Amino acid sequence: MDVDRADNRTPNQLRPLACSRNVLNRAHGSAKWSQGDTIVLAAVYGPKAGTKKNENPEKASIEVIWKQKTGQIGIRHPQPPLSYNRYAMWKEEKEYEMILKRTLQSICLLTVNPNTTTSVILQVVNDDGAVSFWLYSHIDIVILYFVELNHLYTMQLNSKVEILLEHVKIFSDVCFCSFLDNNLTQLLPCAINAACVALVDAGIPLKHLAVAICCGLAESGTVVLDPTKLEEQNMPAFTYLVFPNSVLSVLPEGTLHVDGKPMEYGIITSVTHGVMPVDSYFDCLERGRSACAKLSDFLRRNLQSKDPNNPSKTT
Amino acid sequence: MVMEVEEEEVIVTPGEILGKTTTFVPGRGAYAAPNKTIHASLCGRRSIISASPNSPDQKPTIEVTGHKAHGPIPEPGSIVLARVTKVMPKMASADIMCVGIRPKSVKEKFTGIIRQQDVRATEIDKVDMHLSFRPGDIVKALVLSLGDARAYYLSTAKNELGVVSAESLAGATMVPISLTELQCPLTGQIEQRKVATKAGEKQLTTGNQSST
Repeated sequence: MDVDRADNRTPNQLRPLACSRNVLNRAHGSAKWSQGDTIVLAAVYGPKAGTKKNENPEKASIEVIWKQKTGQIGIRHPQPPLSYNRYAMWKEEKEYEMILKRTLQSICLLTVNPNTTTSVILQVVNDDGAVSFWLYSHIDIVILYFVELNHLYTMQLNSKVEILLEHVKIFSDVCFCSFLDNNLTQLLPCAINAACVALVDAGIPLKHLAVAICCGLAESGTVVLDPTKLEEQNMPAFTYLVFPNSVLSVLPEGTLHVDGKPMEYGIITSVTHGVMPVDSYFDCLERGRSACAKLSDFLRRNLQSKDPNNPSKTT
Repeated sequence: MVMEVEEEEVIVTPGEILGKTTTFVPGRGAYAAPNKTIHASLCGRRSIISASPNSPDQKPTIEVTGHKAHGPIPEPGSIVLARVTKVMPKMASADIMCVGIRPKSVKEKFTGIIRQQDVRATEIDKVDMHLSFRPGDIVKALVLSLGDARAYYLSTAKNELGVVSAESLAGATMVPISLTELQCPLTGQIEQRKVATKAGEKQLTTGNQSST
């Protein structure tokens, strides 16, 4: 069953990838990871002395700071009109920080530099251009703000916007789109990939690399790889999967078997939004694993390149 | 004694299997996994260092070299150079500047604490911190432990550990005249310190000496 995608990709096709290392001078390690129009910049500082209050001083600790895109200079983006919505966004950012922290902790060798903290700062450079807007209604005029590809447009419409308002929750004289609740979608896999490359660039010892992918379940039941933000908002369910990089070895093939079975690392992180049948989830795992093998090759090629500043690209 | 180093051109990435623990010993940039395989933990070139003839384990060491390394980090047992920032009756705090016998400067700020009982090996209860260190002194110390979240615990309880450089009130670098005294070359004023003896140099006497 085929799925029509806005950018004419097949369900198994990933968006173009690009990765640059060592892009910041002051950071100990940095990387910029792009998947289509989604761009995340990661900076690593440390290891710094001491761990936080609830951390184990016998091990190194990871601190993750998520910085959302604030918009272009000189253009004032509309703020979320209600304080609870701002709180929801803050809560979601904290949730993403926790997911990232746990993922990065699982790939780092925490016993090497005990009682130290490594800070990973993730800055969203560009979301994938999806529309996110608030509506302010005043009597007969609706002023529609929407942000698309970093440009702010203001439109005045008549009060006949019933079709649009079907998807909008109304609170007194302020309206805003319901899909804002998922403001950070599609950024997580990009952020994990960027953070992983930045950690390598900083010389932080890792057990292995991690590669992340997003798999979505279309309404038709088809599994779609690497959906855009707009696609995700129309999906009943999607999942973020993080796998270790594919095993490469200098040893002969037969030695990579434990008890006669091939040695595999398994899965590092899985975050699911929405309701998904078990069969579809396993299908996502299978598709995600094969996609991550390609991502892993791309990541390895990038890390093995002589010039870290030269952004390697693939389509 | 020259150790043979065999370095490969291919760049390895974290997680790649470099060998087995039955054949190699994991060195810098490598770690041993529970299934007896050695994996790379850094991005760089795989190099094999042959074992020294007098080592008990004759396995060669496998390392990942040529990577961008983060700054050195103090760990228990390492020798550090630190600048004293604050002296209190029971302890002195210092900022660690360099780590290792061949000192490498740290990139981040690491704080150390020298407790009263760790200043010298004898008569530890009679130590006067203000007569052992002053703010601004450069101290050679041993890292005892990771300490708490705020600072590392340092010790100067050996002859070769203690103040290696200090400025007098006149602004000149003082010279050691005994294990407990430094003298200003300009004014001749003597100040009390816990002085470090330089390795290979004639031992400083414990009594007062007049400089001639």
